[in-house]
Amino acid sequence: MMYISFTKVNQEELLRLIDSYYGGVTSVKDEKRLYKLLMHPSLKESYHAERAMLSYFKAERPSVKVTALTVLRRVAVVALLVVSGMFVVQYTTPKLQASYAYVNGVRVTDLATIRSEAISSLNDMPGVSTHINMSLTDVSSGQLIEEQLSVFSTIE
Amino acid sequence: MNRYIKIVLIIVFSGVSLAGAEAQSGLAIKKVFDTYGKSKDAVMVELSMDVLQGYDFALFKSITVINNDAAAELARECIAIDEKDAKKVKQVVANGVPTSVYLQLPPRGKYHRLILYNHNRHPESKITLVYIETESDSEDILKLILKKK
Repeated sequence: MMYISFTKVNQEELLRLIDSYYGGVTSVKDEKRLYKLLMHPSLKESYHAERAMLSYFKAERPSVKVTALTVLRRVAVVALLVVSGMFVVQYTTPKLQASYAYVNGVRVTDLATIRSEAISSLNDMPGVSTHINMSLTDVSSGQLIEEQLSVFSTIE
Repeated sequence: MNRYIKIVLIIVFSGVSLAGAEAQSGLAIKKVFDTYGKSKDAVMVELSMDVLQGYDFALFKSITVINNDAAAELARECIAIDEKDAKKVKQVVANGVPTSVYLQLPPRGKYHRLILYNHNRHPESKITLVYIETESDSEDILKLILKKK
């Protein structure tokens, strides 16, 4: 079997990397390089401990391949969590009242007040006043709408 | 990974924003509600589905403004814009100025839409502008509006 001889440069590099490894300052790239150097056939009888350590950790470390599919899966999970959270918030929080009125710039949310204010504003409309007076004490949404629309029904 | 989370959140919030668009968006009369709805001598009422249950309307929005010529002029201008794509059901003109206009707008989705406008000048100037959205055919709603007492 042909192999490249282990040069002096390789030897110096090997020693430097071993020192760094024991010092805990090697990067992943350094460790890979160190492992490759230690696996040289000419070093079979040397550096047993270092070879054993790197072989052990290399075997233990699972190879993690981050693929595009993995990233997409993570994005999909995040999006699903966000949307689910929004639905939970929407259905668990009490609904804001959608009906409202502004009278002279002041917001009113009391439904009875909303109805009466709308009717009051129509009191001066021709053909509506009598009908409105009769219904002021008991107003339903349907009556309110009919009374506002009655402004238009009197027009020929 | 943080970049992907940001992209997802931007997409989600954009979708939520679009979903929250106002009912009369795209109509010129929106300007009347926005400009004078919270002003003095104005009453703006919005009744939505939670109150209108059992009735034919999905949305009822009206504004009444007293003694405001600028509001009346703006309302007339907005009506003139919105009536371009609409069917004019009725119009009353006095001294060359429209005093009442009923418009039937093109449906949007499952909702039929109506605009009603009236301007009374005696004893005081009062404009009434009504916007209605309904799942029922707008013809049926107009019959309800125009029925004689």
